[in-house]
Amino acid sequence: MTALLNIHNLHLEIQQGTTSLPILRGVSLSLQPGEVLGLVGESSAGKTMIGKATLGILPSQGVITDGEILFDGADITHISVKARRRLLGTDMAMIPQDPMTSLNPVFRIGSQIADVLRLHLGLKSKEADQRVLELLDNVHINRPERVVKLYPHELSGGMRQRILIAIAFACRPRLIIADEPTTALDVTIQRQVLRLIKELQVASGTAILFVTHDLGVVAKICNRVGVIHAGRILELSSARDLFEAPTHPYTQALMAATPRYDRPNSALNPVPEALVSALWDDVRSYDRGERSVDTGNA
Amino acid sequence: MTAASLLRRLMLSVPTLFGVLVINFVLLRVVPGDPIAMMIGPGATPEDIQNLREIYGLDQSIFQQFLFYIRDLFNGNLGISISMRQDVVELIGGRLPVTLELAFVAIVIALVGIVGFGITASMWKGHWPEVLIDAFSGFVQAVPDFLWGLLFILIFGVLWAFMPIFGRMDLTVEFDPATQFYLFESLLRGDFVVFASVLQHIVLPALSLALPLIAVGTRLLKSSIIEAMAQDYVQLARVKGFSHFRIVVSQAFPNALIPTVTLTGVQMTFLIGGTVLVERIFGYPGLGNMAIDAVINRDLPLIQGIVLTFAVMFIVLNILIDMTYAFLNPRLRHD
Repeated sequence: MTALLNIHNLHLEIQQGTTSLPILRGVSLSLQPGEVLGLVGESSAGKTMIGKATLGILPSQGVITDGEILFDGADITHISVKARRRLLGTDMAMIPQDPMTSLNPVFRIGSQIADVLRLHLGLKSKEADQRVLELLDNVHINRPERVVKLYPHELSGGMRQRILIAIAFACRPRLIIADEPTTALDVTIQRQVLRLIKELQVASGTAILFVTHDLGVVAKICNRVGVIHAGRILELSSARDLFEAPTHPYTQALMAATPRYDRPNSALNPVPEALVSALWDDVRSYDRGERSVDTGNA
Repeated sequence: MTAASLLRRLMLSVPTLFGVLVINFVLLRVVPGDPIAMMIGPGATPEDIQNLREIYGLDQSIFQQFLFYIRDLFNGNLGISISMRQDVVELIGGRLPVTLELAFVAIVIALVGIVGFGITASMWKGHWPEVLIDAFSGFVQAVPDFLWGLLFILIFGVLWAFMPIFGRMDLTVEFDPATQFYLFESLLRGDFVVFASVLQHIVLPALSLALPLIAVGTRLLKSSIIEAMAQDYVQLARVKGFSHFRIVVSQAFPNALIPTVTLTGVQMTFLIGGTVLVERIFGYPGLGNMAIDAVINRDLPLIQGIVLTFAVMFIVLNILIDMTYAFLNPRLRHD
């Protein structure tokens, strides 16, 4: 079986003027159809950029300097805008991080789901409206015929995230990039939303690249997990292996650092400083190596 | 905007109008210049002057004059023009439609320009259309409306004299209007010869008024669209597979309109004020042109009437803008 998504040795830099800042340092991963792959790491580890590079929505300063992204066997690293648009919405979708700002404030909920159906499935208004109600029902929204007439500001964050999930699954994509979809929600809603994503994922067989900094989320939803630090994947294994026998010291430290709700008085265990500086030494020597290779080529 | 909030806005405009009345009334009477002296020739005797002062009530205290003025105002009476010896309400009624038509055409031109340039500049952000439009709006913004009027007269009326630069329509064209809304009336009656002539006369003054508004509005709309393009919902629209054009026009533009309308609305009141000088320059027989004559003649009742009319126009325009704003922004619809 060929991998649905195959990222090979991806290098990405933020370039501004003459300075450039490496973000991804040779990321490789693959995602099978129907699989949920978690990407965990600290803030600025580059996990969101992997998702954005896959969708082709990098900020203008973000430049892929090396490596390739294959979708369904085809290289999509540098495809044209038109070819990209044929993939987006139909084959690939996204569940964004912040439900409060990801819906257009001036349009009704119904039309924001219907537009993608009309664009890609060519549905007429009536059919699209009918399908919207079904999709809202699938994400367990009560009285969908009332909700479609509402504007985003009239809904709670959890409700909006359900709407965004409905939009992501609307055209039955093969791959969904979920970029910290539960981070902006409070803890009780997080559980419901995670359960919902898992439920829809199982029912539809969609593959999900699940970006998060929350190991608890990873445990609940992912088949495999990649631990990412400073733009490099340190460890990539099945979720069970990762939790039962983490091999990389950084993963072990991350696990130990997770606060325990059942032991509220125990001291926090931050990632040891020695480990952090060792990791960064490694990153710096990697960057030096990159640069010497570049000059060698030139 | 609900009926209740509309009513509240109208109630709130009462003190505003009263303030305008007071300031206008007092200012006109404390500044130097005597309307009676302007009225009669140098040979008048002191008795003649005194008699006229009594006829127009100018011998009483300012406070008493004001009370009479307010009383008459409630009876729909704005007094008799000193210089033209006609009822002020009638005079204004004959000129107001002319100015309203001019302002309407100017605003339509401005809106078309703002939307066209604003969308074009943000579509091609960082490329020559944006640079060109930025340079254009920066230059236009620096030149006031009446100067554009003079420039247009020089260019289209003198150098290449193919546009009319004076009056409201060709005097050779026959037209027997029922109202003073020549443009609308001729259109509704299907009289296209008149319509063409009126339109030809209105274009240059309207364009002079519209240009500064276009400049300000275009910059606002462009930066608002660019700001909206950085929002999360635009990113989602991109992931939905929408084209760049569709994202700009159907996703970012409706949101960018909200701040643009608010700030351009303020500019529109400047446009109304601008009609005074522009009408004068183009010999356009509107309210503003009459206002200048009224000031020259120290025609107190007429000035008061015109200022009151302008104040009402500002208030109505502001209410209209607020209604548009509520229409564009669903977050404001439930109050």
